[in-house]
Amino acid sequence: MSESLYTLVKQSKTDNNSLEIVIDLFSPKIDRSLQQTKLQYREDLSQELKMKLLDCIRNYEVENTPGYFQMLDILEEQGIQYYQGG
Amino acid sequence: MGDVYSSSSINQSVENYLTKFEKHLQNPVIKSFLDIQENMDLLVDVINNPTNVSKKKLDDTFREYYFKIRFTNYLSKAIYFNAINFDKKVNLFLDRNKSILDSQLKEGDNLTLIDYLVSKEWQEGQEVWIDSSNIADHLTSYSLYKAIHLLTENQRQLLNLAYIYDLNDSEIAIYLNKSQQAVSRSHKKALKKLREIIENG
Repeated sequence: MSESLYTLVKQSKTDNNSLEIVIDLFSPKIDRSLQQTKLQYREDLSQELKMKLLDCIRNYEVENTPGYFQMLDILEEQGIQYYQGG
Repeated sequence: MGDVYSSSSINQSVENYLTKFEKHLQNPVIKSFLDIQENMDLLVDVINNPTNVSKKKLDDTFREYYFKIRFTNYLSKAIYFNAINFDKKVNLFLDRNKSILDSQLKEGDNLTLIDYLVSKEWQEGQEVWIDSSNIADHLTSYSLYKAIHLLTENQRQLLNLAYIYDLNDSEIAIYLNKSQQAVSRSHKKALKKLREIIENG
C-alpha cells in the first residue's frame, strides 16, 4: 500500500478507485462479521455492509480530525471541565 | 563549550515541556503517538525550533496518525452494528413471512399459519367485496362497528380515506387541506379511541 489511509479517504470523495481500496482494506472485518449470519444471507449482508461503508467513507469529515495542538486544546478543555465537575 | 551548553539547554526545555504537559501525555493517543521515535523527534524539533514549518509537520503527522485510529474504529463499529441490524431485519422478515404452513405461530398457541389463511367467513354466494366508501360497511366485528359510530364525523372520514382508499397521512392532508401533522395526530387519536372502546367493552 503506497498511499496512507488518510490520503485515500480524502480522495474517496471524488475518486472511486481510492474508495474501492479503502473498502477492500476493511473487507477482512466485513468477512468476519458475515459469520454471524446464516449461509444464504452472507452475500446480501456483504453487499449491504459495503454499501453502508460507502456512505460512511464518503461522508466522513476528514478535516475534522484534530491536529496535535488542537488535540492538546481539546484535552485542556476536558481537563478543566473534569476538575470543575469533581 | 557552546555546543555542550546549548545541548543541555535543549534537553532542559524538552523536559520542561514534558512536565508541563505531563497530564495530557497520559492520553492514550498522544502517548502511543510519541512512543514512535520519529514522532518524538518531530516534537523535540518543535520545542527547540518552533517555526511554522516544524509545527505544521508535527500537526499533520499527528492528524494522520489520529485519523487512522479514529477512522478504523468508526468503520469497525459501523460494520459491527450494521451487521447486527441486518440480522434483526432478516429475522423480522422471516418471523412475519413463515415458510412452514403448520408451524406454531406463537409459543403455547395452537394456531398455525394455515388457520389464518383459510377463510372461515366466506360462503358460496356471499358478496366478497362491498362497494361502499363508508368504513362501517366493511366491518365484520360488531364491537368495532359500534365503536366506529362513537367517533366524530371527521375521524370517520379520515379512516375511510386511509383504509378504503389506501391513502397515507400526507395524501389525506392534501385532500382535506390540512397539515400532515394534524392528520397524523387525529389518525392516531381515532385508532386509540377505537382501541379503548373495544377494550372496555
